[in-house]
Amino acid sequence: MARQIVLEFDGTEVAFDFSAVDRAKLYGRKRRVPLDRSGQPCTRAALTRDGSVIVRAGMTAQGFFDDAGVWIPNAELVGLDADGRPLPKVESTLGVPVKLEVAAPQDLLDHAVGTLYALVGTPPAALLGRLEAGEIFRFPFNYRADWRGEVAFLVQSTADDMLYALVGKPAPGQWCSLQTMPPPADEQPDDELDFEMF
Amino acid sequence: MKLRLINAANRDGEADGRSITPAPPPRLGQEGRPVSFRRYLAAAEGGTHDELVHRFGGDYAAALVAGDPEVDMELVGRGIGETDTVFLSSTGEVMYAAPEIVEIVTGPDGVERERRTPVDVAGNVDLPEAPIRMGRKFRIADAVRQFLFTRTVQIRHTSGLEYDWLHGIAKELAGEGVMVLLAGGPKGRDPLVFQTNGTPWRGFLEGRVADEGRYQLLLHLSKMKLERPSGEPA
Repeated sequence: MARQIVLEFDGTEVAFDFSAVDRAKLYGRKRRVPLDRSGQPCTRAALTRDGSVIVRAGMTAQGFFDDAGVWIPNAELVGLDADGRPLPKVESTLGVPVKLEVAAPQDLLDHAVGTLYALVGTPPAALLGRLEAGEIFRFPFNYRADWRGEVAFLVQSTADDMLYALVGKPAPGQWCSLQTMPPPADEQPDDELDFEMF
Repeated sequence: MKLRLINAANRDGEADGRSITPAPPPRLGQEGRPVSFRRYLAAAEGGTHDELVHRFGGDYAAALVAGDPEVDMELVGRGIGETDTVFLSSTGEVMYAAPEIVEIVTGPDGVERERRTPVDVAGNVDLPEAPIRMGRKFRIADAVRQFLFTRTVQIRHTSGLEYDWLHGIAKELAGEGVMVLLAGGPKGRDPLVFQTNGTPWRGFLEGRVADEGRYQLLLHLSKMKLERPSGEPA
């Protein structure tokens, strides 16, 4: 049986089936495809800088190695903090009851949402009433055990009245004052926004 | 990036835009033991699955055990540094001429709907002749339940005059508890495109103010409504 998101509200547990929703499923997608002379799609490959090897799909692997070049199995790796100390493991929250907390809309906006899940379940009437009234709730979320948990927000959409979980990581803005000036353009970090045509 | 905005009172100006990104994930490693991430060659051209199937048939396990045909001792294990992209034709040969590019449009069902010559679309957030305009206002509490916001650009001042202007916008929006839809193009109706052929976004500007004259102007970007595909269970 597929794992579920289990939420606890006022001492009552409610389990939701969930499925990811993305833009392509809603509106379709556009993509630019290179074609060869016969009109068939090309594939990409990588040419090493010395020009000696064409790296095709299926020819590479990746991993972690120590200074002696010995491969380290993933199971032996841990997350490290900025000082190189091991971080505690964050277990998956799927199938585990997690408490709902009321959240402000700005709290949701202060997160970089990476995944949208459509939820299917039967929440208690009291919870449904508050969601219908526009309240937002947050809960801890972690799809699989790793070294950093995420935050999910439970909302009822005004677009289709369905329930969704928006999963993201904290990304708050910074306060600006008259004395705050952005660094000159040449000191700005790379713009990590991906605006590639999809 | 630079953004050229025009406010409700038809005063335009330029501001600095900076994407807000979450902290990077923790790096992986082992306590007290330096490790490094490497990408390396695991097979040479003759050792890929397709090539082995071609040479030995679908059940090539015995051939691997008998003769290690998949291992090229000269190449396997070699680290891969920087590379250049090359295109391979549908028959697997390197193309020495630029491929033709087509734009393929597929529907939500994944079925191809249209195939056309792509047209370059220029960015529209920094056009002196067509600054980004403010339009319809949405209550913040409603907007977060109607649209999926996945990116945020913080708009900041680069001069004292810009500070007054941007702080004023933030204060007005915060006071009303609304986000305002921003749009580009000559008529101020187009989605925001930040660079040539970039993703078109719907941008919603939110303002926050605090004591000592502090403010935040946050441009929240969305490319979809909060809704599920038709046919999915309710």
